[in-house]
Amino acid sequence: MLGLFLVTTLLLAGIMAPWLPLDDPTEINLPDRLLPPSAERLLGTDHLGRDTFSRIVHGARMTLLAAAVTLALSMTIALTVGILSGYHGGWPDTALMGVVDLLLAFPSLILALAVAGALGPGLFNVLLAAGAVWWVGHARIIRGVTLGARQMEYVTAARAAGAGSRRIILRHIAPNILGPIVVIASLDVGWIILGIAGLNFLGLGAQPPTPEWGAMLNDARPHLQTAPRLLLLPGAAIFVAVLGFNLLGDGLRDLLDPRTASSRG
Amino acid sequence: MVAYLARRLATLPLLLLGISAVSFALLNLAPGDPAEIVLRQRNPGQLPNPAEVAALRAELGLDAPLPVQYVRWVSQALTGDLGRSYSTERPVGAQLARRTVPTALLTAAALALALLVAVPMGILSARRRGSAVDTVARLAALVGAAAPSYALAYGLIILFAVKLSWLPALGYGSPAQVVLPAIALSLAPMAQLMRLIRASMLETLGQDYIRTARAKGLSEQTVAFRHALRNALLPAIGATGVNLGYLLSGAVIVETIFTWPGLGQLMVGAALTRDYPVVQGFVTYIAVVVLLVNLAADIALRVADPRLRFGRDEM
Amino acid sequence: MRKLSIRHFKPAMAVGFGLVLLLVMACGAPAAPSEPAPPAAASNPQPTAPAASAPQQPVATTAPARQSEQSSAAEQRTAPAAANVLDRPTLNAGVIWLDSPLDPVLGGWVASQSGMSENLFSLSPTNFKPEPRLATEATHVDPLTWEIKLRSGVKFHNGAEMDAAAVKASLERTIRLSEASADSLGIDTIVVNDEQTITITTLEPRPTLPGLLTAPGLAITDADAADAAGEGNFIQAGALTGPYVPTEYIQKERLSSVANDDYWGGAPPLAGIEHVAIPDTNSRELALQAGDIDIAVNISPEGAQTINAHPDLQAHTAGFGTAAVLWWVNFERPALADPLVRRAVSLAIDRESIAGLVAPAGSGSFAELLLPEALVSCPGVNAPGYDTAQARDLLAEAGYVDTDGDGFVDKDGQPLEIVIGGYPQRFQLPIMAEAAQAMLADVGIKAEVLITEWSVVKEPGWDLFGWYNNVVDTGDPILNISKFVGVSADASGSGANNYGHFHSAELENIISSAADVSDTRQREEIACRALDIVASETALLPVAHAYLVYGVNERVANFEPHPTNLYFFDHRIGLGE
Repeated sequence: MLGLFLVTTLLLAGIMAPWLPLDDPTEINLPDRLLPPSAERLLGTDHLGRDTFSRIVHGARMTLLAAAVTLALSMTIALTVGILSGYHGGWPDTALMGVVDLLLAFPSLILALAVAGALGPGLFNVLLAAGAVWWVGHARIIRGVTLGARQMEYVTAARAAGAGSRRIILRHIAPNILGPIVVIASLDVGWIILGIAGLNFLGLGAQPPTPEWGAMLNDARPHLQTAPRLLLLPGAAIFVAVLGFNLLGDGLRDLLDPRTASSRG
Repeated sequence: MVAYLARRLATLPLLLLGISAVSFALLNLAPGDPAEIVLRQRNPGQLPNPAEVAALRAELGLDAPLPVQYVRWVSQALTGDLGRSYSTERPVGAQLARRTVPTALLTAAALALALLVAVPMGILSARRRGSAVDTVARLAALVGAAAPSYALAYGLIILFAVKLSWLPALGYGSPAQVVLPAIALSLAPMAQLMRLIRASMLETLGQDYIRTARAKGLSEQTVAFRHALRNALLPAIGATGVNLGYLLSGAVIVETIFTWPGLGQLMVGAALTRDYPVVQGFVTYIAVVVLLVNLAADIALRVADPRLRFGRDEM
Repeated sequence: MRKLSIRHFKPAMAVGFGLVLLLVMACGAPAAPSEPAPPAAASNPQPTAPAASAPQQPVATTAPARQSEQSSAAEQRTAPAAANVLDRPTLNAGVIWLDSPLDPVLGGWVASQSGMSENLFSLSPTNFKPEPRLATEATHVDPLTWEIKLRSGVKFHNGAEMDAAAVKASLERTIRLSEASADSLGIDTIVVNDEQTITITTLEPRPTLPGLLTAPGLAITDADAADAAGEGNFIQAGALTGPYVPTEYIQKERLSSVANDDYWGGAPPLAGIEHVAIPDTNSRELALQAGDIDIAVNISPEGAQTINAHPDLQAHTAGFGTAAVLWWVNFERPALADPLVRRAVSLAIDRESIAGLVAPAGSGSFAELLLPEALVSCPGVNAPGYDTAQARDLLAEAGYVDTDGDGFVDKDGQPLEIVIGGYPQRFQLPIMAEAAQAMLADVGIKAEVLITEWSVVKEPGWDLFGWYNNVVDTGDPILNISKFVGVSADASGSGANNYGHFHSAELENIISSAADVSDTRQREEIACRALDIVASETALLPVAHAYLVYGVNERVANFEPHPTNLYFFDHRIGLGE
């Protein structure tokens, strides 16, 4: 429940950010730099006099957008590979799962770091890198679920009745794998947010003045001791977002997967 | 068991070949002419002239077709020759080898710490399900999984090194210096392991044979330790490879902050300066290590888990 | 029961097995026996087993006793002359990089900074004029001839005498192995007159030869010993002369030295210096506060604030800057090719405010001109100031107006967009880029920030590119102007770093008029004329002169910070209780 609340708040903040009565998150105001929190500026200002509260809220937008793009990209690949592999079996299955086994040996953040390093810095490159490596684990799970669904009696019956693969996948397989996908996706958003923020922290991601939490952390490093809130706030934002999605994911799993739910009590 | 082992070992060369192909593709994905980058590094402040570039391209074998380059790269990699760094022009293999020890020490310390905390906490949490201990443990696991290590690392340094002066802030060499980076690195896998052990412990405790054992009048203690614990730990072993991935990924950031002279620090520096041979060598190396550890974990799982050893049907 | 307990331990054994495997791979995998060991680590052979490897690993502890033992052991190998140093303290220093090899012909910065190598001349800490070091005197006999007297009683770390023949051999080795040094000196012959005097003749006039000889790549080296030791064994050669003798060097990680008790200037009070590379500025500052290191080289303005607030620590600086923080202006991009736009851009950026941001009092000063006052003072020469009204007028004059009402100017339907580049390793550059972006937006110029690696400056995709560079090389103002905005890539090094592709015949004439001028005042006048052109043409945009700021523990005694980044530690620095 807390998860749902946190995620909803984040989503609302992210979507509404441009219409909220906030200062421009990129507007620089040098005389007002490093102001402490006050009634006027809730969380103070950063090293260039930008409103920290506004940057955090807009950061939610950037972060969620980045996570959504990565998730969409990786899920598309995972679904294609997983269903193809699970439904058709045979050599495509062997080949695709071989590729999956292979890619599983590359820790995703490290591969993303390598790809981002090769392509040069930039948020788009980071998303591309993250999306390109994140699908691997999911493809395996989706394959497993597809395989299970395919062997169910009504699917076998539909096949016997001469229904096309496309129809079977859409009508019978898809509803079965929807649940697990939602669970994986929500549990995964947390990891994606941490990973992308990490790449941004290392300076490989979003270019200034984009308000992105990882990049804000990186910008704030010189002020670690003179204005620690500049580090703590985006750090806390990342923490809350990841926590929210993890809680939501746990909740959804309990809801959609009765087997684990019973054992979790 | 033997058949299983044979099958796993047979696919190993194929996987290694695949890893090499991915790594090779990575380098060739990168923009820029390696010969030009090397020459720039040699003479900073001067634009390399085309004749020099062409000569170096020939020397580095970059004028050959890609498949030829790939075969050459693989055969050299097999002898341990992963090329030379663009920035230091030293062999990548030797750099990786030297930096492996610090990283292995750090990840081993972090993994040990994670296990040391996660195993008892996971068990306790499962056995006292719903108690205050369980609530605290689950909360701690959630917090640990969500805390960004980069913010945490600075917090640890400020608290324990600067304010309390209990431990050195950074550096590498004495046992005290491993404590802070190991804590920063261990939190995420610790949380992950704790959740895993708690869940599998609960699952095992709910299974038929445990109920049978209870029915036979064995004490809770005996049930928990004789039957449940062993099975509950199995997923933890299975997750060793995955955790190694997390640890190595985390090490990239933690090593940078703590100036730990390991592979992660090398990798970040290389990625930021587009030192492709180092990036490529590092990625290949890590993939091979993860692959082998995964294999070892799978084999260990088979050895430890009689259900898997004899097949589930006999259970 | 017994049976069960054995089973019970199996999972633990399996985990242990995984760990052992990891460690085994750790030590074996990519180290091919055929590979040569890295040069700097040659004295530290690759470990073959994890158990054996631990004690051989780099040690950066603060325990003085242990370090002294290590040092003295190493000392017997490389510097038999050094005395027992057990009772003297070792200084722990945190620096940024440690990236250049110790052999001067391969760079020489680290060796010079750490007090291991010395040149015939060194740069004065007050006005950057060359001062005698291993030389005692230089006489300009005629435009092509210099006579240099050498200090007597100087010994290389290996005990060999540094006499005229050794200096000749050293310079000849450098010329043989380094094309850049050969070009810079343009030496025709070196003649040994007697034990302590050499005569150098050059192919063209070199009125600033003593200054040129201050380059770290030209440190005096025992050529025979260095060549005999071979590549990768430079430390074993004992071929340098400075107050500290290198004992172990792992590039980008750590560098150890012991005191050279035979040093011509007197034995250092320290047992030696342990350098650790800490690239992250925060970490370097924190290590100083935690007591891991006694001195942190190059700290940020914010770090200086924290460190000055600490009871045991203080920020030290020479009080003036020798590095310019600037923007290259790309003359090959259409946007800035128009002089009106270029001028508008320079007027729209409040460089003085930005300087206050990245180089506040105590960390640097505003740079109206490229070169700092301490090097050359040009009273009448000014750069265009901050004037947004005039910037807008110039843009309008150039045909750029906001026709579509989006707040940004355009011309023929094309918006005026520029890219401001920079690299992250110098903290000033990303901040500068962001600040300038906002200021340019005020006058309707749309700017995009590109923080990337430094070598992108050599690619065409930017209009302004942030840069941090030493501008007091060799102590000659003209060389430091021609390096950045000159065009001819001749022996003088002119145009070597002209990343903005600035071309001005007038500037070339002014610079070449200095070729045979040896009078210092006259050279300064010429430099001022050149700086006037650089400023009025907006050849580049200087922002600040950054100080080199050290964070120092109060136990450190007699530390005198040099304004350049050539010399961090001299033979007088000590460490109290």
